[in-house]
Amino acid sequence: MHSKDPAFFPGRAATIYYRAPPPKQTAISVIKNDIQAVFHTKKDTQIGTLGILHPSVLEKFEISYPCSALEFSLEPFKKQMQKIWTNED
Amino acid sequence: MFALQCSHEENFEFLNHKDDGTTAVKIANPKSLEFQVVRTSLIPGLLKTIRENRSHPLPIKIFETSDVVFKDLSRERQARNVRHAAAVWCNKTAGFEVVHGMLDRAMKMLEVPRIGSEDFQAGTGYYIKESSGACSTIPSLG
Repeated sequence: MHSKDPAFFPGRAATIYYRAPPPKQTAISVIKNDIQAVFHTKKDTQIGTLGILHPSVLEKFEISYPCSALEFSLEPFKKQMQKIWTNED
Repeated sequence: MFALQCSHEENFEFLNHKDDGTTAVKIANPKSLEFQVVRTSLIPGLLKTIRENRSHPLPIKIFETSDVVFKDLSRERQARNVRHAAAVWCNKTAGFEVVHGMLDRAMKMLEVPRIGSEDFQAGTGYYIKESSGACSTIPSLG
């Protein structure tokens, strides 16, 4: 389940998960939410990673000090845009 | 478009990643080694910036928000742009807490609440989970 990212120092890396808000609050969606909560079947998307970079990575980039990195996707947080500006088909 | 490209080595080998052939869009006739693939991560670019500014006093704190491109065979153009945000902190100490704080700040600005990773009841939010899974204690650094 957890894909280990070799770019980071082992044990010093984390994955960022995002749970999108439910589209509409109705009686049924509330019940559905409760059922999913009980059975732990909620769909959380993996949006990024953070951690301390592995020394071998720093070596390849010729950096002599430790570095921490953070990277995540902004796609779930984009506001509605005009179609010509987006990737939508 | 030039800033979007990088060498295959930087995008994969330098980050200890393996190229499975389904992630990155490759350029058929690259002008030089620097333009082999369209990048799939912003981290190599930031690390290259740190490398070129080694003489700069520490700490170095940089970020970038830009598009990266993934292969997507389900679409006609077979590629997909994804907007990413990335930040790197470089100092005498690693500063995991600094990038974690930056994530918390970014999420606060996006009005996304922080939830527990075991909180199955919460409607929306974000949480972080250790990537390597099982072990919860800090491993010996030898």
